[in-house]
Amino acid sequence: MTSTTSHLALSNLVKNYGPVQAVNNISLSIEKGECLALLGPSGCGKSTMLKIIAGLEVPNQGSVILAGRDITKTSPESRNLGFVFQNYALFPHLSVGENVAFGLKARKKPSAFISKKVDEALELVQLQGLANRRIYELSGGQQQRVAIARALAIEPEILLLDEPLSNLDVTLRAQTGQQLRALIKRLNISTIFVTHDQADAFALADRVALINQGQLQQIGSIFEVYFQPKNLFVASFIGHSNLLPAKLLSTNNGQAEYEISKGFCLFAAKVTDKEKVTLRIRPEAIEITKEQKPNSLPAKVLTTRFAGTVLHYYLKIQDIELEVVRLTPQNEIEINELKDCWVKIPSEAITVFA
Amino acid sequence: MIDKRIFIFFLLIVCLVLFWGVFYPNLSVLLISFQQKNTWSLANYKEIFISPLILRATFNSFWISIATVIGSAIVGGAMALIFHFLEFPGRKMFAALAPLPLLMPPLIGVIAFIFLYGESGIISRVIIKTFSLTNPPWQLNGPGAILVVHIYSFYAYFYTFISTSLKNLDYSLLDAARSLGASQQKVFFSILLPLLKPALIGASLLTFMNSMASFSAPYLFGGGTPMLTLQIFNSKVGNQWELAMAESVLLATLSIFALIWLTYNQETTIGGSKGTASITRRTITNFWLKLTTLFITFIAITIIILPLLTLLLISFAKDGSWTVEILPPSYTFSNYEKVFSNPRFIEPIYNSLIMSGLAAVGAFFFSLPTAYLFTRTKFFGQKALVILTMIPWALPGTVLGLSFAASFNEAKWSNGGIVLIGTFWILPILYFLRTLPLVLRSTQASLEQVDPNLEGASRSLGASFFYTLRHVILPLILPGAISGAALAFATAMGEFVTSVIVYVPNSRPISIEIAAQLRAFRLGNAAVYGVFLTIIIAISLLVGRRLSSTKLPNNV
Repeated sequence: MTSTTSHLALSNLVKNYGPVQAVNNISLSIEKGECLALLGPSGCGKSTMLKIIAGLEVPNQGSVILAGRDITKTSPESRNLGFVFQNYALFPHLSVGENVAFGLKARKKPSAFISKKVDEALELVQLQGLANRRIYELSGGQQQRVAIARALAIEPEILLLDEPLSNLDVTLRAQTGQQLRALIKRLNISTIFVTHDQADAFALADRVALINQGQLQQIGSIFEVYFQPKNLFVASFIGHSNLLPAKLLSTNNGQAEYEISKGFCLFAAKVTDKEKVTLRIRPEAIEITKEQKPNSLPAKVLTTRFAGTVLHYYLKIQDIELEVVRLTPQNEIEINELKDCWVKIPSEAITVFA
Repeated sequence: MIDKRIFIFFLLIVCLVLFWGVFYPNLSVLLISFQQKNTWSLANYKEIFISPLILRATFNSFWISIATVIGSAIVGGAMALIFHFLEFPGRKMFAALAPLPLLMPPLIGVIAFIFLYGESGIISRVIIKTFSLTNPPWQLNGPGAILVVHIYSFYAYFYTFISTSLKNLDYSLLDAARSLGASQQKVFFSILLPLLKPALIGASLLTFMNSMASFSAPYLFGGGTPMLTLQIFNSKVGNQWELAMAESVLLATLSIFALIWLTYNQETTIGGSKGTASITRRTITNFWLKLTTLFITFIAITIIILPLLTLLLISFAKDGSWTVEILPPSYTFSNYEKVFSNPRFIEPIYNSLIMSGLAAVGAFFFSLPTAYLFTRTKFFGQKALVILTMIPWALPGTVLGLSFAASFNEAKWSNGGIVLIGTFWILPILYFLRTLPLVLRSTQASLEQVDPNLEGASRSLGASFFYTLRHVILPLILPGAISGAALAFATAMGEFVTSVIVYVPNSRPISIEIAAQLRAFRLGNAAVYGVFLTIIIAISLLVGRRLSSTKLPNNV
């Protein structure tokens, strides 16, 4: 698992808090310049992992290898990792510039070097000229950028971010996410961040590690985890998924027929011999038409939810409820008019779980 | 986020200080109380339960304390409620003056009461002149006098506790009850009173502890009323050493119980929503009602500030000139000149400043690692250490003094050969232990305000634990720690009860000198010391309050 080329590798990490297993035997690694998201519901152990990497927590078992060097027992101040806290943890008694300079001062760098570095770091996050401001004079978004500048000023081996976008309001979120990813890519700095929001993970990361109850569920590119979820947890955590219990009826040439309710069958890849399975149907892959088309099923629209660019339909096929996401039609009449429709579920939209 | 070695180092220091400063002296008291002439014996306790004098003393201490709690609750509670719910001219000024007695060390309050209401006190003379009496209609001694002084000294606990609770109250609860049809009395008894319960319990315990421990009032005008603290003092002076220890155990047990109750109940704050609805004070519009309220408040405030004014007045009175007149007939600066020019008189001031300063500085530095251990780490026995730090503050001063007299009187293997009795260091150390909880509470409160992530941030930026302590934590908790140290300094400056047990004549503090001057009937000198002390205390409290309010906006 821990290849010698990887920039950072965690192997068999275990962290217990009393009887609670926060991290349960997790191994993963990232390459130089890669951005990895640790994604999972709150309390799944992802923040603990980040703290273990930073040295703020000590694991009960396992090791942390940075560029081939075991740093499991190294004190946090000797790791040279940049940590950006969820609440930014800016020093309230220091100015913006002093905050950014903190790590360099602790390293006893010459003051001319420090001021040059501080200017550079502030410029990176587009806060040039604000060095003398007090922390409480800044907006939430600016504070976050100070925290990032502070972490980058020490030229860390790896940048660690705890819920980097969660304290920002919706409008700022998309913009900040974009800028942050551009910055990470421009500096080519290896980055690990923690989030509970799949949208944040997709916006920033190259790869995603899904974690639940202290265990690694799946690690892969953002597309892999979306299109090929390894298990039900991943399938249900990523995207708005329709999860339907089904029964395997017959197999034919690798294709299988699954019965969802009486007389309502779908064809998908055969993955198991088990009779009882769960089907995941991605809502944006389902087609809705007014007229009947080959292989389509009659459905009733129960209600719709308008989300701007897309429209969520809540349909009923026989006694099965299904969520479908389509691009919003260009006029209101079309949205409201649709009551009875035809639905086509392509077999690529379906993933089968035993 | 503390390195293991530093953690152990801190813990070791804290344990050492608490073991020899608190645990060991108290254990000595306990052990000696079970001895007589160096053999184990229950004779001292038997004496306690058969001596009518000690039984009376115990009974007196107990009922006077209960009565003090009830009286203080009524006075302090009524003032808090009136100033909070009613609006009338001068309310703000009155409300600010109400906690004034907390500013005065008990000894000073007692002296001021003698000047005012004593046999030849100012008020007594007014009454005698007005009604052509030969003697004042009251006598400032006995249980009644003690009770009055107690209520004067301690009602402010109830006033401040209840005021704070009222300030944080969710007033929509009261409005809700009224809108549901409850009468005003019903709202008071079934909504307001239960919400104030934590404040009432806290103030009651503090008042009870202070009242049980009270020494100055019984000592100076108990009029022969036996009280436990006096009894201990007399046993010690009368060389009944072991009996004094047994009496101390009896008195201390009550205080320790109160302390433990306090520590375990301090979290029972008012539950439910924190109020956003603020109070609308009812303005008194009826003219006569307004006049009555104003009159009563004026009388109350006069009673509160009169002792201070009297102290000031007497300090300018010419000694020996004041015989039958209501007020001293002639005024002079000579008392001040005398006290501040004569090295013999200025010495106690110097002593007190040095000893209290040492104690405050010591408590300041000791509180830093201790507060860190208590708020940022968890370890086995933490709660026990927390209680140990508070014991010297909760113990009656008499007992605290005795416990050191029992344990550091001569070189023994158990005290490591350290002798403190008869040395300069005994009082600074006792002041340090007694005021440590005040500093610790303030420092801990500041530390709790500091986001723990700041430490993590600093460490991950490459700063060591001590660099973090020095450059992140210390600057943020400094105002709180200094304000606590200022409070400690003020408290130590006014300390009398512990001092009187173990002071060394060469380094006697102000309070001892005041009592001495009083016994020599040099009232002017005593008052000068009193005024000086009050000013010093007021300044340090103001500095402390100023610092604790200059909080940095943390975690924006």
